[in-house]
Amino acid sequence: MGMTMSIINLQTKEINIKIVYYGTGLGGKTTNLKYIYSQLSPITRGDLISLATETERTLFFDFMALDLGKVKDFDVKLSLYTVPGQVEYNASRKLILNGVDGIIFVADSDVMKEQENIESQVNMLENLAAYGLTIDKMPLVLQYNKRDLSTAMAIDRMEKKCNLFDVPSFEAIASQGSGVFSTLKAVCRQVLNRLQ
Amino acid sequence: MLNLTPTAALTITRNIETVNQPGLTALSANILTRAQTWSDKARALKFEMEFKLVEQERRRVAKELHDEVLPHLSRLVRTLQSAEEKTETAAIVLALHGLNQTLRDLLAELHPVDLEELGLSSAVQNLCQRYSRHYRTSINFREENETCGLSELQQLAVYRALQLVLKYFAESGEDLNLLVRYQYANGTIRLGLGTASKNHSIAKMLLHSMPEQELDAFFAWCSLAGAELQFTTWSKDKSNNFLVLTACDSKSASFSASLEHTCISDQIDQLSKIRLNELEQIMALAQSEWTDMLEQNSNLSEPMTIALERKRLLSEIERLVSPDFAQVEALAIELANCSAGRAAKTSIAAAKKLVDTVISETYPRQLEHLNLVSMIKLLVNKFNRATLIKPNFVVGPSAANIKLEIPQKLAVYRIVQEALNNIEKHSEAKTVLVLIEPEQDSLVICIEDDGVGFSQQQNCSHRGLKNIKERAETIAGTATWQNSISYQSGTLLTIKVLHQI
Repeated sequence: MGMTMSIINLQTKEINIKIVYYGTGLGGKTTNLKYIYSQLSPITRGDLISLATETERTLFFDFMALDLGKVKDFDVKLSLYTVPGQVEYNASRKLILNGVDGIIFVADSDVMKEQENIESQVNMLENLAAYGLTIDKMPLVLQYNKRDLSTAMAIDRMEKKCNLFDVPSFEAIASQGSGVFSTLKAVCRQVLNRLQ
Repeated sequence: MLNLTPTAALTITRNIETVNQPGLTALSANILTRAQTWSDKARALKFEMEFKLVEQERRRVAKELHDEVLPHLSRLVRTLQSAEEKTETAAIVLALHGLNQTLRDLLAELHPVDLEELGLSSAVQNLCQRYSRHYRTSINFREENETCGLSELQQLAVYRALQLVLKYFAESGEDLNLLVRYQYANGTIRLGLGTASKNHSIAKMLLHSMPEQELDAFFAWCSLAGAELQFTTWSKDKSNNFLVLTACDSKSASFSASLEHTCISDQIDQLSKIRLNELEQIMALAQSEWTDMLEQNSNLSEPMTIALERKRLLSEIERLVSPDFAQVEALAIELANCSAGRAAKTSIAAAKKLVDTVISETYPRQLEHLNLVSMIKLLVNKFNRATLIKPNFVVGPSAANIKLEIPQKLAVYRIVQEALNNIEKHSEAKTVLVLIEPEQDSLVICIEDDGVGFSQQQNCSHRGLKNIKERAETIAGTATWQNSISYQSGTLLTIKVLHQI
């Protein structure tokens, strides 16, 4: 299975970047996408497609395409994906990572989710390794979501436990939009820097 | 022609203003089509896994209600009819007949025996008559050929689909003057549902007013039948106010397989094609993982499906029979100053409790503590108290030591119960013999009466006999009828079930 990084069409001067939201089940990955969708102009966004269960939980994945505009004469298009968080769907998670250009790891701030966050990151590393990738070569940012929870862990503790690779991290309350775009911008910046 | 509706498994936040971005629109449209197909398949798989359980549970409840509640009410009617205060009890007897009819309608709703015994055309006709009577609305049925070549599964699916929409229209309270037409020719059934009312549109009512869950179930049943739907005219009718369901007997009722992959042929750019291929791969894998999960979790999901169905059944039963129960209860209270009225009040309360128990408990709890002989003895004693027929109860040596599993005990218990009910109701017997005799590897139960004989019994319950046969089959046992051996006339029912000592 070949790893294809950003799809670039030199003739039409287009770049298609794939960003994947990774993280535990019910961590807020879909909420991130929904907020982005709600804030963008209809001219720049595509449909937001969620394959979800009746209980609103993402069973498989969400997908949304959006147009980032021109960067150095190239039309940049983003494809945003979320992975199914439930442990049982690892094959789908792994496949969604194929060809990924950047990852946003959405960590749940709830103190009860500490171990799940760590396990999910380990799982992400394993799945990346299957494509011959290591985290030091992958644009990655961390989002500490659900900061409004009364049971939210202290940021210091989350940094220590979850930020294993000392990557940029952002606090967020995705349901209110706080921190959503700063996280996305950060990962896009990393991806574009690498392309240059 | 309609397609399956989008399912709960697929959420699309539509961007309706993407006309300025043809690249995105074409990609989205293609993804949308694939996601729609995927979603339909996912729901089809789930429905296929669930509907059998739901049907099984409905059948179980129908059997239990028939064997437990109906005899209880029949016995009450007989008691009231033989009471000294006949004039006073006439009204409550009439109301009990009404309740009895409602319960029988309910049984037909839960488990359409006529569909299995008489075929789709007759079952649909009965359905129309039942709803006409129950909802006091006009539903005319016309058939052009009563034969049907559809498989049993297809027939059930067509019946359930029609049942859903017909009930919805009948319950609407609108003066619709409904017409149901049945036609079968060249291996294809056309089932039409229309209204003679010019003020109503079948399409509008179905697609815009029918609750989403019911509409979803309607489409799911249609898919299971491999049926196509059309809003159209029927033959020479000028009105196009007809919903026509067409199912072909050569078409497999394989649900998920019937959903063909459709592809939008929009020109999309190379980059989008790559993304699209990628998404297709992900969706294919997701479907396979999801199906595996469903199968692995069936131990958990099956009880949940059954529990949900029971909850639904309780509310359906409550809605259907509560008014009748309330009426007989009120009449019993009015009769509180006579002994028949007091007895009726107690008996009606017991019948209501029986209905609830039948839904919530899959078998009488005594089966856990008592052996089969003791359970049958209870039935015989009850029979003795309630009738003038003299029972003889004979138990062979070591019969009490016979060990049976609860499903076996339940089946035999219910068969004996139903047999005694039939004797009480139809046989005109004076004596009945109940014999339990262990054989080498089986237990034999004989119930023999000296009544008018099986073939001469009038109004014997069709559903009851079917229940007996089915119950025997489910435990790999047998139930056979013959003329009485011990008496000059009458019937002998022999039940045989394998056992372990």
